[in-house]
Amino acid sequence: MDQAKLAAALAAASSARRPAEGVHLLQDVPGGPDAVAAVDGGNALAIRCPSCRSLVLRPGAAVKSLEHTALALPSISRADGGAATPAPFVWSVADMMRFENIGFSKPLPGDSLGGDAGLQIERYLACADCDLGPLGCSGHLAAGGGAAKTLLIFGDRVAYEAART
Amino acid sequence: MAQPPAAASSDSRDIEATFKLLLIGDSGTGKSSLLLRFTDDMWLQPDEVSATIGVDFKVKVVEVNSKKYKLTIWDTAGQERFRTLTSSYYRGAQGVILVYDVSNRSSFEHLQTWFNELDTYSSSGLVVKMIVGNKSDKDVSGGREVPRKEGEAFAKSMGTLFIETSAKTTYGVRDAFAEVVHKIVETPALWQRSPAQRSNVSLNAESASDSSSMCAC
Repeated sequence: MDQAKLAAALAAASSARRPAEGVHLLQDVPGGPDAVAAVDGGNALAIRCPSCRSLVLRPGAAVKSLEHTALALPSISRADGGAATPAPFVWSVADMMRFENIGFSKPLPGDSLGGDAGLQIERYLACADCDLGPLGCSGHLAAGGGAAKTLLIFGDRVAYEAART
Repeated sequence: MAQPPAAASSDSRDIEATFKLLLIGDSGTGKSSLLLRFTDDMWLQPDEVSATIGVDFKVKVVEVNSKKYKLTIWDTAGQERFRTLTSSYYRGAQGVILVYDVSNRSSFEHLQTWFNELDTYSSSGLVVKMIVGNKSDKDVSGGREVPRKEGEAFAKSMGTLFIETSAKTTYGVRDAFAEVVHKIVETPALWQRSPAQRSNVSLNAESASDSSSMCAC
């Protein structure tokens, strides 16, 4: 799983570079990974870049989904050699303007990526501030989706900021 | 009781406005680098992650004068080789940042070509333009080919803002975006909704009727 590789890379990083207070990878979120979603399925915590901690989505800006978990994207970690990994769940974002900060790659060659049966991947999503990615992808539904874009952030490729009280 | 979902904090209440900005200029001028935030405060270093992704456009929130604006920033990377920028790329843009490399004179001389294209496709004469002389750190290594004064003089003749930046040292980069946003904010005719200026809407009967039903405030 990509989360493990990402965690390993983070652990291997210089100890001088520490995560910001209150920002956690999925596996380290206080209260467990399920705590990232609110009762309505929205993200309960702010979603940030796991490396530079740029704010990607504010709380409530996305909805947790178990659709498209068959999708695989190239790993973020170089140690993986770019092997593609799926997500345990995704954050579905209704509109690109729901993002605080995000980057869209150039369109991917149409036939080089399968996506899953339901989704044709069009672009990768990356951190707007440090270009780390893919954090997710954009695409369109293969059938019945019309021109509507689907925007997904992989649940295990981002960091979560515990709510400030 | 469970807390109400945090949806209330996710809306755009505190976003004053959304602007479309374009980055144009020759390949190799460092346009894309202007969009990166350079910091040592990174959890992962470049050698730990896969090759970076070439980015086409970004959504970014910037703060200018204590107010937040959401920007969509479009990079021409990969397209300029073919000079096939379409009018849709320019349509609705409120700000354009024209980038040259101070260590590459031809990238400076090509600015006129970019201005011509901008004039051809831009939907409004009010579009805020800024010329950015990037890689000003080249001064140190003696690689400069375009004196700052020359860049300033050209910007003055074109009636645009001007700044020198170094994406490498982050010098001036933040100022460049802030300046452009500030100028857009000062030009309400550019962004307050009117039929002629609306972005991301194709010009057809449907959008015309849509705009006529809009509140004129």
